Amino acid sequence: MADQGTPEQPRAESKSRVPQGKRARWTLGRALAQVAVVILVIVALFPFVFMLRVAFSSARDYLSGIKVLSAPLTFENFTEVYSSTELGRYLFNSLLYSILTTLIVLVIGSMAGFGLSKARNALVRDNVMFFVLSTRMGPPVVFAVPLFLLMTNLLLVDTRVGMILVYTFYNLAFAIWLMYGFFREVPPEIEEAGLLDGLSPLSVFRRISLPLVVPGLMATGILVFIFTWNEFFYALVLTRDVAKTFPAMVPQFFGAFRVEWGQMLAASTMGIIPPLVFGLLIRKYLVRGLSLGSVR
Amino acid sequence: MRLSKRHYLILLGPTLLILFAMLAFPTAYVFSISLRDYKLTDPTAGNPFVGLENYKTLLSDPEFFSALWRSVLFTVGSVALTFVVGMAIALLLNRRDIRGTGLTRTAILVPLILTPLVIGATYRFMLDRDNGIINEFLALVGLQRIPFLADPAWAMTSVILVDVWQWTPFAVLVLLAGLESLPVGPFEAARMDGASRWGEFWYITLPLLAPVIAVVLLIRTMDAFREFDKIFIMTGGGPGIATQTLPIFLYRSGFQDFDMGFSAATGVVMLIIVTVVSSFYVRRIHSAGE
Amino acid sequence: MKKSLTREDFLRASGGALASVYLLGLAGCGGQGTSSGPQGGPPDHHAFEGDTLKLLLKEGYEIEAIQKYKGDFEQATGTTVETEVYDEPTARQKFILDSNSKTGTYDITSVSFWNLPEYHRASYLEPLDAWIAKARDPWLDPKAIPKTAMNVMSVDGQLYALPHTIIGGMLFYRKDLFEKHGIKPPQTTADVLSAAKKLKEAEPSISPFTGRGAPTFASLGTWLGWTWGYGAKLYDDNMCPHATDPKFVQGMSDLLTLMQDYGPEDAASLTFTQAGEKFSSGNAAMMFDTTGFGGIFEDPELSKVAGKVGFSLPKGPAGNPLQWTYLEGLGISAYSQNKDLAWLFLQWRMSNETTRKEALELGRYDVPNLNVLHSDEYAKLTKKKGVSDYTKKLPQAWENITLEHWPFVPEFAKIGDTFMQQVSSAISSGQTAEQAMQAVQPKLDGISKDAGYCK
Repeated sequence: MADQGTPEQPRAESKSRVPQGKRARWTLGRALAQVAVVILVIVALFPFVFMLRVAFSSARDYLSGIKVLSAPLTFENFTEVYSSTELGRYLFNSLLYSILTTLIVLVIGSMAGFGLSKARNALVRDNVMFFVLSTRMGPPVVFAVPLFLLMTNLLLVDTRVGMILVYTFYNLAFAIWLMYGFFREVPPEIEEAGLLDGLSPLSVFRRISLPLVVPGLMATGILVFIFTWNEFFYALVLTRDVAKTFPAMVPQFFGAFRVEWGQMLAASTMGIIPPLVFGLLIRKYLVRGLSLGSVR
Repeated sequence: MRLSKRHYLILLGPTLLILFAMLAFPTAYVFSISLRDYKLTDPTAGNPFVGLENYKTLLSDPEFFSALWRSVLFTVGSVALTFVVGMAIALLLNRRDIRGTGLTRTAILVPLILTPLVIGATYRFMLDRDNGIINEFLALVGLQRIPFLADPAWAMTSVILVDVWQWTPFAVLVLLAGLESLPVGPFEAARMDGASRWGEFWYITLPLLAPVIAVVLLIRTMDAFREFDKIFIMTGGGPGIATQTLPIFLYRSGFQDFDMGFSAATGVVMLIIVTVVSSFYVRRIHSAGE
Repeated sequence: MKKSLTREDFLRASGGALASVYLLGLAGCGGQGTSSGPQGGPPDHHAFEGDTLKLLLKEGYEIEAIQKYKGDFEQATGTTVETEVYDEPTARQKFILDSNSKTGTYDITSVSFWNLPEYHRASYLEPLDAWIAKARDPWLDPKAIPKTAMNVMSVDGQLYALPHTIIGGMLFYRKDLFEKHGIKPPQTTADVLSAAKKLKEAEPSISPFTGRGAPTFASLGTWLGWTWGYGAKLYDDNMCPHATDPKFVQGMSDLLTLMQDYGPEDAASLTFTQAGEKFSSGNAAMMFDTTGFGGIFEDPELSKVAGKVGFSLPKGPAGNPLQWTYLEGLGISAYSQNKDLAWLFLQWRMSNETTRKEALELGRYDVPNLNVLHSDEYAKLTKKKGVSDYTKKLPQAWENITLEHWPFVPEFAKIGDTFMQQVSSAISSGQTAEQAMQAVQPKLDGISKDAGYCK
């Protein structure tokens, strides 16, 4: 969203009625607000912290109520889950798909994003963008049945190739949309200068525009990585065992007789490390990505 | 910079190829399947063409309308709550006089990037009637335990609240960015005219934020409508069909009842709903992104 | 079904055209063709050393022997046996999806008899007659398994699974509580109802009754078996549903009363394991379910009420014994890549050695191996463990078994799910049997019509 103020106008901060600066007096309202913030952080982080707590607790402890919060730490869930399930393989698959999909999608998506950013014909461009956007809007469940039948016929069910194809399709539109936005921020003068120097448009793309959008590439790439890593539905329907991903293995902890909470959360702890780490790395771009570029 | 047709071909070729193969084709395919009697466990039947039979069955199936209603309930409930709570928190974090807002903004990113399925699974444990930590707290203070996910009345509420927990940070951050880029002029003028805080919010803040709010509402609506992971792992659509939204309904008919034709018809209907609703707003987002 | 190799290569290459050659190297292979039937003669036990068998199992007491003793098999053959255990609807779903995509992830699967028509129609299971004829191992004694069981596990004369469970209907009751309050052991459905009423007042902290209420096809047996006592069948010979038939409604009404008014508060969600737990933990005074629970309830390590259990085979108003017909066995996936080894495993599982241990060490007194059941050791053990009450009733329970009341059709799962969803919600909402049956009749009509029955 473009800044609606002129350069001379003071920043929005001073529009607040509240006395400025942290050195102001503590009123009741301010105290309540401070407490609210603390509660907010607790609410936001508690489930995550709890997950870690249970992952490092023994079964007896996490089934005995509040006491689990002060129980001794143990690695038994981790050793158990690694020995009784193929967690290693599933994490590897998730990593493989996320990385390869990101690479493929960045290459193809940046090319398409660049091309679309230069398109003069608004009608064509708008329609292509709508077409592209609809894959972000459309519920994945709608394509479950045809994709499942298609992949069954192509013998691609439970194959790594199949999953990478599916994830490429799943993320491509999103990547194009984001890269389109980033390319439009490149000052045209720099690209014109390149043309004047005798470069072909494609060389301009490769040698001038692309390097200028590296932060955007990284942001898009990491978002694609996270979306692919977290994807569950297609993994559930289109994999059996060989090509299964980390999220798709979580249901198997809900056994017939009882639920292996500890092991499940231990596996989950291992599995959320990549999206958490990478997501926090690009937190500047997270909101932009999730809102499809409409908020900078 | 002018690009020739050849350039466009090179730049956009692979994209169009993939999108055609994996979007146009499956879309056409799902239409085609929806017009057949296609039972996965009956390969000998030959999947005969039955025209609009599946749609007739679908539109006279009370369970479909129940699922549609649940989807509406879930979507409206989650979006409304996310917006109201998100707006409140955004206003809170916009204050300059409290500490830790920077840390808070990072902390609330966590719900957004955690794997939704993991979120659902963790909450399933936390909300368990007998072993869940939330019920342990309730019991500690002498309240009765609540079967959050096993009682039909509570289940939908619980599922909505978990979705709100995950997505409110998104609303907060977007609205916050919006708040921060609002011009100061109208506010100063309002203060000079003696407007109340509520009046200021209602008559100035909200209208100025309208484009941003529209973005939040649209994206949240689309995401809530297609939500599957968390509901699947927390209740599986249950108890009974209390939390069976359209995506769960589609999954069940296709991958538990194995009636592909019927499931495909459900998918087509969902696609129509989504297209109609989003075509109103897609232009809005597009122009907001300019 | 089999495509030529070049066509598969072409499809796979065009599917992977966008990926690098490196990706193709990483791609796993989907399941392709299947091995070509039994090679003649009993196989050498060590012919498959190093191979792995994957079993898809449904939860239940019959898999305990598999999990405990599979080491014996692994040692005897030098192979590895991996098992995955799921609740019944999930196990069926996984098997169907696996079979449909022909991936052959599972070699062996639990087969409930009621899924046989569906599996037979879609050719998901390997027919076993040829294997018995050509590749019988000494492990399998053809006279050991009751003939009726083998017949039930066959469709159109083809055997699809080797039975390892035969179950009939039985009412379990706390004979200590009955004695304490002077209630006579229930011999009819009316007795059950009056006993429940008395127990509710006499023992307010215990649910008088428990049974299956979960909204899946796995619970259907309770309700159709009970109503059979009233001389009512849900479906007639043309597969037309008669849910609103007065006799059927009467039976449903009595059982619904038992679950609503005299059952535990979560009655509407109870699977057989959970319902059993209610009884074995002492929280329920009566349970109508399957004979399989006898050994479990009388095992002091598994049950808090061991030694206090009474067994009866009640009849309904029409004089029919209450049913809970269930047979289960192990079958081989048609897409398995290890059929010879899988067949060896099936035979090992029902061998005299394995079933003997199962009965004597694990206390599974109803293991369907006639050699074991008629042995002296068995007689001695049941006397010593005090389970003769139970084992004496077993032959009668097995004899009472009938399939007349059962919808033995491929649409069984859908029928069961639809019916039980209605019943389950009736249990929790307090709806009457009339209302519930009125509501479910059109749905069942729809299923029959859709499948081409009941013209």
